[in-house]
Amino acid sequence: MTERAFTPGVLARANLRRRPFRSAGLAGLVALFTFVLFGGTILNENLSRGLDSLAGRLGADLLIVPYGYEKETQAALLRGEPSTFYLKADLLDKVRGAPGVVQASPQFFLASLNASCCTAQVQIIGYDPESDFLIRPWTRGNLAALEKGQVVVGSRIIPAVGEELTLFGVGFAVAAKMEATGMGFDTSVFMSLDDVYELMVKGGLAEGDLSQINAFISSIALKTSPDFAPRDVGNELMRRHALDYNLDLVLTKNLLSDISVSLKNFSSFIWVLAAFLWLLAMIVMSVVFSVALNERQREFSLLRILGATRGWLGRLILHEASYIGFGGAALGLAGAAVIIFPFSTLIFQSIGLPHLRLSGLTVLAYGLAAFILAGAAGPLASLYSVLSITRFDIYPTLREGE
Amino acid sequence: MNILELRGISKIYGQLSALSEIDLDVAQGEWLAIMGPSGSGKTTVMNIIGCLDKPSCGSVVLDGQELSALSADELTAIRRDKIGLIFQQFHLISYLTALENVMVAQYYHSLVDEKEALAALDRVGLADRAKHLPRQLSGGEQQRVCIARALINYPSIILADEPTGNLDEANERVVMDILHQLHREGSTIVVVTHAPEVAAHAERTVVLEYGKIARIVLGGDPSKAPEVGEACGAGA
Repeated sequence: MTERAFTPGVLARANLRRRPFRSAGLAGLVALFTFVLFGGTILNENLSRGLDSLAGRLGADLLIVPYGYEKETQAALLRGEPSTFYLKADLLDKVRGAPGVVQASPQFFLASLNASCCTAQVQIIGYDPESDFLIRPWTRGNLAALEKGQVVVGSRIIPAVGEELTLFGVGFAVAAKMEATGMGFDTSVFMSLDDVYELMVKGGLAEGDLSQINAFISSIALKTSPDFAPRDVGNELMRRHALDYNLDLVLTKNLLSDISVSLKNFSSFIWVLAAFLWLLAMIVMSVVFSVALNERQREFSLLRILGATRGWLGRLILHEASYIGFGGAALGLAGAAVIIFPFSTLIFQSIGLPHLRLSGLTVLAYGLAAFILAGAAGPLASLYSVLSITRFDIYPTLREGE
Repeated sequence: MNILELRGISKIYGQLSALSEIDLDVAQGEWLAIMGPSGSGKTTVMNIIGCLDKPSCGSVVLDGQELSALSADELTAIRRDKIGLIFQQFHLISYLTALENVMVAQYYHSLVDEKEALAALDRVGLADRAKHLPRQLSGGEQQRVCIARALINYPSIILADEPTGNLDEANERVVMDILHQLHREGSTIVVVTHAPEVAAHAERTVVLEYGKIARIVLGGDPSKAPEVGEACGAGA
């Protein structure tokens, strides 16, 4: 047995082991706070970055979709939920000539069967590379033109650039990979409209000649002139074509503001819960440390008599509080890591909002910040007790009750 | 040669005078008993000698060092280095073994030495109980651990506060035998007690009443004591 056996750290650990339920209870409270703070911040940041990315690069002001498919379009865009719906393609020319429309680009949504690339269905999106302004902002590198038989894949589709992807038995060369968007695009495969029509025929999804099939699209993305309000442009389009084409409109501004409100609510909930738990942890620990100090006045008096200075006793209490604080914080971080990271896909799917994963370094930085903030709650809560050590008379305290 | 000298010691708590003008010398190797009824000032004297409290006025010299003007932390250092304390309630640390309870006093004093701590326990007949926690020891055994702890740093003076007050007759004998052995080996012992049979072991007994020395008895039997000043007087 050496000198180290009686340092404040060792005696603090011995005392914590002596009161396992109290120690575990306090550490558990800090762990819960850390879990909420770290886990909540990570989720919140993922969602926030997803929204920023969406707001920054979603070039469309309006989306024209078939009547009743507004929700499906949002689900396909935001969460990548595969769906298939149709609009007559000749609407495109009429829309292009409408007042306030600067650009109009068509998309064709096709839900795949299980593809070789993926364990689940993917959304196949046919688009017009010439007029596109929806896909291109997220495409890595310089994709000059998408040639026949080539596809652009979302960031979470496995095959890399230059590899082949088979859909409905038809092979496609991966020409480019998109950056992570945080949206349904991440699990989508993009090809030209001609290719998607051909795929439908080859894959047995449609019969007849191509000229009949290509008379359909699923949606039209519109960019409006700064001189026109997107809502007014949409209203005019609805007035002109709603009856003939059975239309519905998605205002991307509304889409983003809905997401923004959801995110703000989620964020507020996390911060309020974290603040409440931090306050609760501080109050409970302060009370427990204060009660423990009273319980242990004899022990502290004895240590003072044996030669411990007040500073040494202060360090003993701070050590105990730090073990509880930082131990609990480490537990909370581990809990968050075990629960949130492996199940992040499921969590984000259930939240249903666009999200972008943080880099490992950023996660580490948030983890460190949460660890310090939560861990410090222990020593902070013990400060009153540490300062109170000097307030009792040594020997009368030791002899109390004799 | 005196190991301890008290000169004109008074202690006043608000309006209450707990000690008044106490003069007392304790010679090196002497066994002194301090007796008196409750409220006579025994504990206050014990606190001042044990560097647990400071007098309101007067001087205390322990082992040649004046203590009255020292700070709390300096008194802690003196207590750690020069005084071995034995308590009525033993006051062992409940989560440390008997051996660790002895070693913790070494830790605050200088260096931890397990062999030496074991030897101290052996000296009080408890080497085989070294790994036991206080709750696994009898009252007498706990008091012997307390004595081993008091001895471990070779104190200038052993200060015992009612050392047998919580023990049965058999254990009282064991503890008093150990104190006798320490005394024979040259230790200076000051025992604070209300029990005449414990005081009877001392070479000299100081009887306190109302914060003053009422009488001093040679040979330790206070019932045969002359009044202060008749025989030996304060500060003898």
